[in-house]
Amino acid sequence: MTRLLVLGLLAGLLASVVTFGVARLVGEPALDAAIALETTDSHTHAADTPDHSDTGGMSRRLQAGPGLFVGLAAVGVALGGILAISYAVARGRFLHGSTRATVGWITSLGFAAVIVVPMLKFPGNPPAVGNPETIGARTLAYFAFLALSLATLGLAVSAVKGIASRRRKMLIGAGIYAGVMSGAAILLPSFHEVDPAFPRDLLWQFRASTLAVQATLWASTGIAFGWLVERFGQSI
Amino acid sequence: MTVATRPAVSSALPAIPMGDIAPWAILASLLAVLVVYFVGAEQGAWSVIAGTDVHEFVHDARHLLGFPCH
Ligand SMILES: [Zn+2]
Repeated sequence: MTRLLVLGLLAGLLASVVTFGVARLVGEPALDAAIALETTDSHTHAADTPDHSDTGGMSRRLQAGPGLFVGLAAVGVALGGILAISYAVARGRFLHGSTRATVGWITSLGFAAVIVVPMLKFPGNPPAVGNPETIGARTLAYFAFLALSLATLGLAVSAVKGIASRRRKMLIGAGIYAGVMSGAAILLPSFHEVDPAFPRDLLWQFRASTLAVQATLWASTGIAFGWLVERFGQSI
Repeated sequence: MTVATRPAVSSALPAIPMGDIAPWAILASLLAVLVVYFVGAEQGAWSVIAGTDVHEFVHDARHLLGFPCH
């Protein structure tokens, strides 16, 4: 078990190196463009959110370099750890295929429930977008929705565990998950805070880059973990 | 998938006993919650450390991972 966990943490670290490259390449240009808009646009809340200007205590170079890497690596290592635990629980209980197939299922379902679904309800915002007064409510709603999504995934997987037919299993599992999450998405508040003056293509570019960053992190963590377990973890 | 009720089939990979997993699962979950909190929310919606240094240092990661930032 210790070995599996170490391989998971290592996979997450390797993945965050790749993700850092993607974040620099596709994410930073959008981030910089939004920050440039924010600092030139005096009617936005640049004054009360000093963290988004160059002068706000920390340089952009530090934020976009070491800061970005440390943030991504911390999340990557944590993801690798959780992936290792999920693999240990799922193998031989919920999934009975090869190591790669098991890891593939876990990462795909996890990515859908932890990233894609919350993103549909609460897409990320670039600097200059978002009302600072609602950050508390938005953060709370976002994490509540994320926690519910994970719990519902767990419930759906457990509920279909005993079903023999693969087809029925997937249909019923997907039905439970979609039903609960659609209800939650309707009940939870939405926040429409994008200034109509904010360029739409930049908003899209930013949001697409957040999806690309997360997809890279999850896919490369899964691929690295599957490879490492097949190579060094077969005795477990 | 047809062996769902018989995990210990010779060709299948063995299940790892829950007792072996549990302590590590708790540790990894704590680590993950802590990390997601500090990268995703500290000094934004909530704050346990004074100032804005944590927020600013992980700022780009927070935005590009899609967390609510400000
Ligand atoms: Zn921000």
